[in-house]
Amino acid sequence: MTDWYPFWLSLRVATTATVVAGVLGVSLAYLLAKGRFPGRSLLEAVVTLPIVLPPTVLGYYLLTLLGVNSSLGRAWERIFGHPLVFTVTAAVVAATISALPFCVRTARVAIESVDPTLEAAGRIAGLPEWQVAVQITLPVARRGIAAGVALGFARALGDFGATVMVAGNIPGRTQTLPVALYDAVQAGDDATARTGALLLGAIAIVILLAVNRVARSAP
Amino acid sequence: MTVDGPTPSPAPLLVDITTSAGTFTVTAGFEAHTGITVLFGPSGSGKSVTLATIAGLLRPTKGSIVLHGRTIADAEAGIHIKTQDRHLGMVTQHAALLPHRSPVENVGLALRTVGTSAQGAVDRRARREEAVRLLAETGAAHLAEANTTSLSGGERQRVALARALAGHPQLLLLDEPFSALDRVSRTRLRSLVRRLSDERQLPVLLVTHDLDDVEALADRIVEFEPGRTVGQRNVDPTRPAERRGSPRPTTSSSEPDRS
Repeated sequence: MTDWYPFWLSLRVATTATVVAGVLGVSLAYLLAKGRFPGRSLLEAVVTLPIVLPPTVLGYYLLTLLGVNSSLGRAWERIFGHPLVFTVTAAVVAATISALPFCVRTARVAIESVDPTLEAAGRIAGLPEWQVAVQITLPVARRGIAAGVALGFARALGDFGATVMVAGNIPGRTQTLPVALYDAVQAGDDATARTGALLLGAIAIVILLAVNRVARSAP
Repeated sequence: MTVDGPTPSPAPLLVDITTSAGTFTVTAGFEAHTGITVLFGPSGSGKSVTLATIAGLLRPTKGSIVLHGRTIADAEAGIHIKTQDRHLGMVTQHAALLPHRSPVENVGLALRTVGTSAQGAVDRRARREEAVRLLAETGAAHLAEANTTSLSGGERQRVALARALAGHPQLLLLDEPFSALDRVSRTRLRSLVRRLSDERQLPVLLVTHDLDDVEALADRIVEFEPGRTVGQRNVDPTRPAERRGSPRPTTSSSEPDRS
């Protein structure tokens, strides 16, 4: 019988990561699209880094940053009584960081393509800036934002390298589906590997179709 | 200050600004009274940039704007009242209606203070009723719940005019409001703007490159050449309408620095 734990864990981790990356990503996208502040290009580069870095390298840096010998890792341990690394939370952190640039970049393009005369109309109507953002910019850009969040979910669900580095490969605890798939192939368990690959592949294709559909439909 | 109308009191709107938008610079000096002041000139002469500066969407690089005795922008003194606090109404060429909101919601957006009790509670019904009343005033009450994205050009402008009036504006800015319309809607919308201006007793600035707009609506003309205003004058209401807009030397100074 197939062990479904990695599948449910992957869904849980990817969903949590997508919520965090979505909220953080859309805020960052808004800031990068509208803000003019020193360090903007640097922030943009840092946010994009997880796309270009090899996932294991990303995982290595996260491990260095959050590990038991790092100051962040020690602070976590003092507050929560156990290390952050090699837990489900660490898997969520890895998935969030991996998903973030997809959310930010797609949402940013969508926010930048909102017709500025609509935002101007809101200001002239007397809306304060935060209401211009909430009532005009974000709703008009919602399709692009949704596409970015969907891509982020796909990336979070499929992450292998960063997850294995910071969350490890503990069956029944931190072993997500992509990691379990790798283990199954190593162990020669073809049935489990096939099921895992089919599931991950099917979810990815469904997300791709949904993103294309959203992108094609008129605003 | 040059005043070429019969009123000795200062004009409701005094503009004396230079604005740079990218590589383009426009210098504009004029005043506007109650009634329709047409900013007339060829495309690209800086009329819309001037209007955007009055709206506070752009900052002037030089000079100042005084609206009803209040300095709303002064480059030298570093004054820049936010667009939100200038109490304006504006209609642009394509109306800028929010596509995800119904017409009545678009109008309601500008009714921030209507139906808000002293405790800050919002009476949605009062706000809605006021929005429908404004739509009725611009002949668009039947469109209140229509799909905003499927409105015709003329319908869009009617909704946009209702929204522009919703905030009890001190000044109405119309940026090429008829240029995207067919002939029939254009004539109807002109009459509507004329009527609203007469009823509301507001200063109205109308940007256009269409001489027909000048002939039909202008109480006052400010003429633009590329990059600057070249003159302003009142239109004599006793002259035949078809001659009102004919270009001729203007009565006031042509220099933007008129102080």
